[in-house]
Amino acid sequence: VTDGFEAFFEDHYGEVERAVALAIGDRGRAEELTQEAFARAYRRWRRVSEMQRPVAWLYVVALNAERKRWRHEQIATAPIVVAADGEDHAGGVVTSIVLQTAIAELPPRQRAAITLRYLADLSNAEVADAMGCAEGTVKATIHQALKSLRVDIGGEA
Amino acid sequence: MNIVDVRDALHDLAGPAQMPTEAQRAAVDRRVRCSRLMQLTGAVALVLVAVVGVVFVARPWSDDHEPTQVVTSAGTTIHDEQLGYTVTIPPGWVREPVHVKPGYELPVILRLRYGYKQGALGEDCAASGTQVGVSIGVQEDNLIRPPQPEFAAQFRRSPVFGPDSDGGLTVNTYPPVCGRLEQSLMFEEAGRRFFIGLTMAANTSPALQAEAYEILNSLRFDRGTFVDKVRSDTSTTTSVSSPP
Repeated sequence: VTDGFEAFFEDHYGEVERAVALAIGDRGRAEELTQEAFARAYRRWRRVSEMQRPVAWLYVVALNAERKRWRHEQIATAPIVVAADGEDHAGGVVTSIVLQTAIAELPPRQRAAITLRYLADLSNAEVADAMGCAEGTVKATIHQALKSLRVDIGGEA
Repeated sequence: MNIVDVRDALHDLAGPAQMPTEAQRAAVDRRVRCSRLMQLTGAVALVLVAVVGVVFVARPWSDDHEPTQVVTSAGTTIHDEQLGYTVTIPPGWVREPVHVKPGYELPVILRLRYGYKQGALGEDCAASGTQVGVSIGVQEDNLIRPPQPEFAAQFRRSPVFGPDSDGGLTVNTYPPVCGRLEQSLMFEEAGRRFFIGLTMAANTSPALQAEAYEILNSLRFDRGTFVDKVRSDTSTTTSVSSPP
Protein backbone atom coordinates (compact mmCIF):
# COMPACT_ATOMS: atom_id res chain seq x y z
CA VAL A 1 0.00 0.00 0.00
CA THR A 2 2.91 2.36 0.74
CA ASP A 3 5.14 1.37 -2.17
CA GLY A 4 7.09 4.36 -3.34
CA PHE A 5 6.48 6.45 -0.26
CA GLU A 6 10.02 6.04 1.01
CA ALA A 7 11.49 7.42 -2.21
CA PHE A 8 8.93 10.21 -2.26
CA PHE A 9 9.87 11.10 1.31
CA GLU A 10 13.60 11.09 0.51
CA ASP A 11 13.15 13.18 -2.62
CA HIS A 12 10.82 15.83 -1.33
CA TYR A 13 11.09 16.21 2.44
CA GLY A 14 13.95 18.69 2.34
CA GLU A 15 12.56 20.88 -0.41
CA VAL A 16 9.08 21.01 1.13
CA GLU A 17 10.40 21.84 4.55
CA ARG A 18 12.60 24.72 3.37
CA ALA A 19 9.87 26.16 1.15
CA VAL A 20 7.31 25.97 3.94
CA ALA A 21 9.83 27.54 6.30
CA LEU A 22 10.40 30.44 3.96
CA ALA A 23 6.70 30.78 3.20
CA ILE A 24 5.66 31.03 6.83
CA GLY A 25 8.89 32.51 8.21
CA ASP A 26 9.25 29.96 11.02
CA ARG A 27 11.61 27.01 10.55
CA GLY A 28 10.59 25.14 13.70
CA ARG A 29 6.93 25.27 12.85
CA ALA A 30 7.71 24.43 9.24
CA GLU A 31 9.34 21.21 10.39
CA GLU A 32 6.24 20.22 12.34
CA LEU A 33 3.91 21.10 9.49
CA THR A 34 6.02 19.23 6.97
CA GLN A 35 6.24 16.12 9.14
CA GLU A 36 2.51 16.13 9.68
CA ALA A 37 1.93 16.57 5.94
CA PHE A 38 4.14 13.58 5.16
CA ALA A 39 2.46 11.53 7.88
CA ARG A 40 -0.89 12.27 6.27
CA ALA A 41 0.50 11.44 2.87
CA TYR A 42 1.69 8.10 4.23
CA ARG A 43 -1.75 7.29 5.63
CA ARG A 44 -3.40 8.15 2.33
CA TRP A 45 -0.54 7.06 0.11
CA ARG A 46 -2.58 4.94 -2.23
CA ARG A 47 -4.71 7.96 -3.11
CA VAL A 48 -1.95 10.58 -2.86
CA SER A 49 0.44 8.58 -5.03
CA GLU A 50 -2.11 8.56 -7.82
CA MET A 51 -2.30 12.34 -7.87
CA GLN A 52 -0.70 14.16 -10.74
CA ARG A 53 1.50 16.18 -8.39
CA PRO A 54 1.57 14.62 -4.92
CA VAL A 55 4.06 17.23 -3.75
CA ALA A 56 1.56 20.01 -4.46
CA TRP A 57 -0.91 18.20 -2.20
CA LEU A 58 1.76 18.23 0.53
CA TYR A 59 1.92 22.01 0.39
CA VAL A 60 -1.85 22.26 0.63
CA VAL A 61 -1.84 20.06 3.74
CA ALA A 62 1.22 21.64 5.32
CA LEU A 63 -0.06 25.18 4.88
CA ASN A 64 -3.60 24.43 5.94
CA ALA A 65 -3.30 26.33 9.21
CA GLU A 66 -1.69 29.32 7.56
CA ARG A 67 -4.42 29.89 5.03
CA LYS A 68 -6.75 31.62 7.44
CA ARG A 69 -4.00 34.04 8.41
CA TRP A 70 -3.18 34.84 4.82
CA ARG A 71 -6.81 35.24 3.93
CA HIS A 72 -7.22 37.95 6.54
CA GLU A 73 -4.06 39.77 5.70
CA GLN A 74 -4.78 43.10 4.14
CA ILE A 75 -3.07 43.44 0.83
CA ALA A 76 -3.48 47.19 1.06
CA THR A 77 -1.22 47.38 4.10
CA ALA A 78 1.68 45.73 2.30
CA PRO A 79 4.70 47.97 2.65
CA ILE A 80 6.54 48.96 -0.45
CA VAL A 81 9.93 47.33 -0.41
CA VAL A 82 12.74 49.21 -2.10
CA ALA A 83 15.02 46.63 -3.63
CA ALA A 84 18.27 47.02 -5.48
CA ASP A 85 18.07 48.54 -8.89
CA GLY A 86 20.51 49.25 -11.64
CA GLU A 87 23.95 47.84 -12.13
CA ASP A 88 25.46 45.26 -9.85
CA HIS A 89 29.23 45.62 -9.91
CA ALA A 90 29.88 42.64 -7.68
CA GLY A 91 28.77 39.92 -10.06
CA GLY A 92 25.22 39.56 -8.73
CA VAL A 93 26.19 39.16 -5.08
CA VAL A 94 24.83 42.53 -4.05
CA THR A 95 21.69 41.97 -6.03
CA SER A 96 21.15 38.62 -4.40
CA ILE A 97 21.73 39.87 -0.86
CA VAL A 98 19.54 42.91 -1.31
CA LEU A 99 16.89 40.81 -2.96
CA GLN A 100 16.98 38.27 -0.17
CA THR A 101 16.50 41.05 2.36
CA ALA A 102 13.68 42.50 0.33
CA ILE A 103 11.99 39.11 0.02
CA ALA A 104 12.35 38.52 3.75
CA GLU A 105 10.67 41.85 4.38
CA LEU A 106 7.72 41.20 2.08
CA PRO A 107 4.32 40.85 3.74
CA PRO A 108 3.81 37.17 4.67
CA ARG A 109 1.16 36.60 2.02
CA GLN A 110 3.33 37.93 -0.78
CA ARG A 111 6.40 36.09 0.47
CA ALA A 112 4.44 32.85 0.68
CA ALA A 113 3.07 33.31 -2.81
CA ILE A 114 6.40 33.87 -4.51
CA THR A 115 8.04 31.15 -2.43
CA LEU A 116 5.48 28.57 -3.50
CA ARG A 117 5.56 29.81 -7.07
CA TYR A 118 9.32 30.20 -7.65
CA LEU A 119 10.97 28.06 -5.01
CA ALA A 120 8.49 25.18 -4.75
CA ASP A 121 7.70 25.50 -8.45
CA LEU A 122 3.98 25.19 -7.97
CA SER A 123 1.68 26.46 -10.68
CA ASN A 124 -0.54 29.44 -9.95
CA ALA A 125 -3.46 27.06 -9.52
CA GLU A 126 -1.50 24.93 -7.06
CA VAL A 127 -0.41 28.00 -5.13
CA ALA A 128 -4.07 29.03 -5.01
CA ASP A 129 -4.97 25.62 -3.53
CA ALA A 130 -2.17 25.81 -1.01
CA MET A 131 -3.06 29.35 0.05
CA GLY A 132 -6.80 28.83 -0.05
CA CYS A 133 -7.60 31.61 -2.48
CA ALA A 134 -8.51 32.13 -6.11
CA GLU A 135 -5.95 31.77 -8.85
CA GLY A 136 -6.53 35.39 -9.80
CA THR A 137 -5.68 36.45 -6.28
CA VAL A 138 -2.43 34.50 -6.50
CA LYS A 139 -1.52 36.23 -9.72
CA ALA A 140 -2.30 39.63 -8.23
CA THR A 141 -0.34 38.86 -5.06
CA ILE A 142 2.70 37.65 -6.98
CA HIS A 143 2.49 40.63 -9.31
CA GLN A 144 2.42 42.97 -6.35
CA ALA A 145 5.35 41.17 -4.73
CA LEU A 146 7.45 41.30 -7.87
CA LYS A 147 6.57 44.93 -8.35
CA SER A 148 7.68 45.65 -4.81
CA LEU A 149 10.94 43.84 -5.53
CA ARG A 150 11.32 45.90 -8.72
CA VAL A 151 11.58 42.77 -10.74
CA ASP A 152 11.21 42.95 -14.48
CA ILE A 153 7.93 41.13 -14.59
CA GLY A 154 7.72 40.65 -18.33
CA GLY A 155 5.28 37.86 -19.02
CA GLU A 156 5.45 36.42 -15.50
CA ALA A 157 2.76 36.16 -12.85
CA MET B 1 16.39 42.08 -11.94
CA ASN B 2 14.35 39.30 -13.35
CA ILE B 3 12.55 36.17 -12.25
CA VAL B 4 15.76 34.15 -12.33
CA ASP B 5 17.24 36.52 -9.74
CA VAL B 6 14.16 35.98 -7.60
CA ARG B 7 14.50 32.22 -7.89
CA ASP B 8 18.15 32.40 -6.96
CA ALA B 9 17.45 34.67 -4.02
CA LEU B 10 14.71 32.36 -2.80
CA HIS B 11 17.03 29.36 -3.06
CA ASP B 12 19.72 31.22 -1.17
CA LEU B 13 17.27 32.37 1.46
CA ALA B 14 15.79 28.91 1.93
CA GLY B 15 19.15 27.19 1.94
CA PRO B 16 19.88 23.81 0.37
CA ALA B 17 17.25 21.12 0.53
CA GLN B 18 18.59 18.60 3.03
CA MET B 19 17.99 14.90 2.97
CA PRO B 20 15.68 13.94 5.81
CA THR B 21 17.51 12.95 8.96
CA GLU B 22 16.76 9.85 11.02
CA ALA B 23 15.19 12.10 13.64
CA GLN B 24 12.84 13.61 11.05
CA ARG B 25 12.01 10.17 9.69
CA ALA B 26 11.26 8.98 13.22
CA ALA B 27 9.12 12.05 13.83
CA VAL B 28 6.98 11.26 10.77
CA ASP B 29 6.68 7.62 11.89
CA ARG B 30 5.62 8.79 15.31
CA ARG B 31 2.95 11.03 13.81
CA VAL B 32 1.64 8.17 11.69
CA ARG B 33 1.42 5.87 14.72
CA CYS B 34 -0.12 8.60 16.85
CA SER B 35 -2.67 9.33 14.17
CA ARG B 36 -3.58 5.64 13.87
CA LEU B 37 -4.00 5.46 17.62
CA MET B 38 -6.19 8.56 17.51
CA GLN B 39 -8.23 7.05 14.70
CA LEU B 40 -8.66 3.85 16.68
CA THR B 41 -9.57 5.76 19.82
CA GLY B 42 -11.96 7.89 17.81
CA ALA B 43 -13.58 4.81 16.30
CA VAL B 44 -13.97 3.20 19.71
CA ALA B 45 -15.41 6.41 21.11
CA LEU B 46 -17.79 6.64 18.16
CA VAL B 47 -18.98 3.09 18.72
CA LEU B 48 -19.45 3.79 22.42
CA VAL B 49 -21.43 6.94 21.68
CA ALA B 50 -23.55 5.03 19.16
CA VAL B 51 -24.20 2.22 21.65
CA VAL B 52 -25.09 4.66 24.40
CA GLY B 53 -27.33 6.52 21.97
CA VAL B 54 -29.11 3.35 20.89
CA VAL B 55 -29.53 2.24 24.49
CA PHE B 56 -30.84 5.68 25.41
CA VAL B 57 -33.33 5.78 22.56
CA ALA B 58 -34.42 2.18 22.91
CA ARG B 59 -34.67 2.06 26.66
CA PRO B 60 -38.07 2.04 28.29
CA TRP B 61 -38.44 5.63 29.29
CA SER B 62 -40.04 4.95 32.58
CA ASP B 63 -38.04 1.97 33.73
CA ASP B 64 -34.94 3.60 35.03
CA HIS B 65 -36.48 6.13 37.33
CA GLU B 66 -37.62 5.49 40.82
CA PRO B 67 -40.73 7.36 41.84
CA THR B 68 -40.75 8.74 45.35
CA GLN B 69 -42.60 6.59 47.84
CA VAL B 70 -44.06 7.47 51.24
CA VAL B 71 -45.19 4.54 53.37
CA THR B 72 -47.98 5.11 55.91
CA SER B 73 -50.46 2.87 57.68
CA ALA B 74 -52.89 3.44 54.81
CA GLY B 75 -50.37 2.18 52.30
CA THR B 76 -47.60 3.49 50.10
CA THR B 77 -48.02 6.81 48.37
CA ILE B 78 -46.11 6.93 45.10
CA HIS B 79 -45.36 10.08 43.19
CA ASP B 80 -44.05 9.50 39.69
CA GLU B 81 -42.66 12.84 38.56
CA GLN B 82 -41.95 11.70 35.03
CA LEU B 83 -45.25 10.01 34.25
CA GLY B 84 -47.10 12.61 36.28
CA TYR B 85 -49.26 10.79 38.78
CA THR B 86 -49.63 10.27 42.51
CA VAL B 87 -51.34 7.18 43.90
CA THR B 88 -51.65 5.43 47.23
CA ILE B 89 -51.66 1.66 47.19
CA PRO B 90 -52.56 -0.49 50.17
CA PRO B 91 -50.32 -3.34 51.33
CA GLY B 92 -50.39 -6.41 49.11
CA TRP B 93 -50.83 -4.49 45.89
CA VAL B 94 -48.10 -4.62 43.29
CA ARG B 95 -47.12 -1.86 40.88
CA GLU B 96 -45.89 -3.46 37.70
CA PRO B 97 -43.21 -1.94 35.47
CA VAL B 98 -44.51 -0.09 32.44
CA HIS B 99 -42.81 0.84 29.19
CA VAL B 100 -43.52 4.28 27.84
CA LYS B 101 -41.69 5.66 24.83
CA PRO B 102 -42.09 8.75 22.69
CA GLY B 103 -44.67 8.22 20.03
CA TYR B 104 -46.87 5.89 22.06
CA GLU B 105 -50.43 6.83 21.37
CA LEU B 106 -52.06 4.91 24.15
CA PRO B 107 -49.33 4.19 26.68
CA VAL B 108 -50.16 2.32 29.86
CA ILE B 109 -48.60 4.57 32.46
CA LEU B 110 -49.66 2.65 35.57
CA ARG B 111 -50.62 -0.95 36.21
CA LEU B 112 -51.53 -2.23 39.66
CA ARG B 113 -52.65 -5.66 40.68
CA TYR B 114 -53.61 -7.63 43.70
CA GLY B 115 -53.08 -11.31 42.87
CA TYR B 116 -54.52 -10.88 39.42
CA LYS B 117 -52.42 -12.19 36.53
CA GLN B 118 -52.74 -10.50 33.18
CA GLY B 119 -53.21 -12.90 30.32
CA ALA B 120 -53.85 -15.84 32.63
CA LEU B 121 -57.26 -16.58 31.28
CA GLY B 122 -58.21 -20.15 30.63
CA GLU B 123 -59.60 -21.56 27.42
CA ASP B 124 -63.08 -21.72 28.87
CA CYS B 125 -65.17 -20.38 31.71
CA ALA B 126 -64.15 -23.14 34.08
CA ALA B 127 -60.47 -22.49 33.55
CA SER B 128 -60.87 -18.74 33.84
CA GLY B 129 -62.66 -19.18 37.10
CA THR B 130 -59.35 -19.92 38.76
CA GLN B 131 -58.30 -16.29 38.27
CA VAL B 132 -58.31 -14.29 41.51
CA GLY B 133 -57.71 -10.72 42.56
CA VAL B 134 -57.95 -7.29 40.94
CA SER B 135 -56.10 -5.43 38.20
CA ILE B 136 -56.07 -1.70 37.48
CA GLY B 137 -54.62 -0.33 34.27
CA VAL B 138 -54.27 3.39 33.60
CA GLN B 139 -53.85 4.24 29.95
CA GLU B 140 -53.25 7.72 28.59
CA ASP B 141 -54.91 8.77 25.37
CA ASN B 142 -52.51 10.77 23.26
CA LEU B 143 -54.62 10.51 20.13
CA ILE B 144 -56.52 13.72 20.64
CA ARG B 145 -54.77 16.73 22.05
CA PRO B 146 -55.27 19.02 23.64
CA PRO B 147 -58.53 17.81 25.23
CA GLN B 148 -61.35 19.35 23.28
CA PRO B 149 -63.44 21.86 25.27
CA GLU B 150 -66.70 20.70 23.63
CA PHE B 151 -66.18 17.25 25.11
CA ALA B 152 -65.20 18.51 28.55
CA ALA B 153 -68.46 17.38 30.15
CA GLN B 154 -68.10 13.92 28.70
CA PHE B 155 -64.64 13.54 30.17
CA ARG B 156 -65.22 15.20 33.52
CA ARG B 157 -63.79 13.14 36.34
CA SER B 158 -66.28 11.65 38.80
CA PRO B 159 -65.95 13.25 42.24
CA VAL B 160 -65.77 9.76 43.75
CA PHE B 161 -65.12 6.53 41.91
CA GLY B 162 -67.31 3.58 42.85
CA PRO B 163 -69.11 0.61 41.28
CA ASP B 164 -71.65 3.02 39.72
CA SER B 165 -69.18 5.46 38.15
CA ASP B 166 -69.33 5.95 34.39
CA GLY B 167 -70.63 2.75 32.84
CA GLY B 168 -70.58 0.96 36.21
CA LEU B 169 -69.02 -2.33 37.21
CA THR B 170 -70.42 -5.01 34.95
CA VAL B 171 -70.08 -8.75 34.59
CA ASN B 172 -68.47 -9.97 31.40
CA THR B 173 -70.38 -13.13 30.52
CA TYR B 174 -68.54 -13.97 27.33
CA PRO B 175 -66.12 -16.91 27.19
CA PRO B 176 -63.44 -17.28 28.20
CA VAL B 177 -63.70 -14.47 30.80
CA CYS B 178 -67.07 -15.56 32.09
CA GLY B 179 -67.98 -13.86 35.30
CA ARG B 180 -65.15 -11.37 35.27
CA LEU B 181 -66.10 -7.93 36.64
CA GLU B 182 -65.08 -5.01 34.47
CA GLN B 183 -65.38 -1.25 34.61
CA SER B 184 -64.06 1.46 32.33
CA LEU B 185 -63.48 5.02 33.43
CA MET B 186 -62.65 7.92 31.14
CA PHE B 187 -61.77 11.43 32.23
CA GLU B 188 -59.44 14.35 31.70
CA GLU B 189 -57.14 15.87 34.25
CA ALA B 190 -54.20 18.27 34.02
CA GLY B 191 -54.75 18.61 30.29
CA ARG B 192 -54.42 14.85 29.79
CA ARG B 193 -57.00 12.21 28.95
CA PHE B 194 -57.10 8.80 30.62
CA PHE B 195 -58.78 5.45 30.25
CA ILE B 196 -58.81 3.30 33.34
CA GLY B 197 -59.61 -0.38 33.09
CA LEU B 198 -60.66 -2.06 36.31
CA THR B 199 -60.77 -5.84 36.18
CA MET B 200 -61.81 -8.11 39.04
CA ALA B 201 -62.06 -11.87 39.28
CA ALA B 202 -65.61 -13.12 39.78
CA ASN B 203 -65.02 -14.08 43.39
CA THR B 204 -63.37 -10.81 44.51
CA SER B 205 -64.26 -9.95 48.09
CA PRO B 206 -66.09 -6.68 48.86
CA ALA B 207 -63.11 -5.57 50.95
CA LEU B 208 -60.73 -5.99 48.04
CA GLN B 209 -63.18 -4.24 45.72
CA ALA B 210 -63.29 -1.32 48.17
CA GLU B 211 -59.50 -1.13 48.16
CA ALA B 212 -59.54 -0.90 44.40
CA TYR B 213 -61.82 2.14 44.51
CA GLU B 214 -59.72 3.69 47.28
CA ILE B 215 -56.78 3.44 44.95
CA LEU B 216 -58.68 5.03 42.09
CA ASN B 217 -59.84 7.85 44.33
CA SER B 218 -56.30 8.50 45.52
CA LEU B 219 -55.09 8.78 41.96
CA ARG B 220 -54.12 12.33 40.93
CA PHE B 221 -52.45 13.50 37.76
CA ASP B 222 -50.17 16.39 36.89
CA ARG B 223 -48.28 17.27 33.70
CA GLY B 224 -45.35 14.96 34.34
CA THR B 225 -42.03 15.48 32.64
CA PHE B 226 -42.58 12.75 30.04
CA VAL B 227 -45.91 13.83 28.67
CA ASP B 228 -44.66 16.17 25.98
CA LYS B 229 -41.89 13.76 24.99
CA VAL B 230 -44.32 10.89 24.69
CA ARG B 231 -46.58 13.04 22.60
CA SER B 232 -43.83 14.50 20.45
CA ASP B 233 -44.03 11.96 17.64
CA THR B 234 -47.76 11.53 17.53
CA SER B 235 -48.35 15.27 17.40
CA THR B 236 -47.12 15.33 13.85
CA THR B 237 -49.21 12.43 12.64
CA THR B 238 -52.54 13.00 14.38
CA SER B 239 -54.95 15.53 13.03
CA VAL B 240 -58.08 16.77 14.72
CA SER B 241 -61.05 17.91 12.65
CA SER B 242 -62.88 20.92 13.96
CA PRO B 243 -66.69 20.79 13.79
CA PRO B 244 -68.18 23.17 11.24
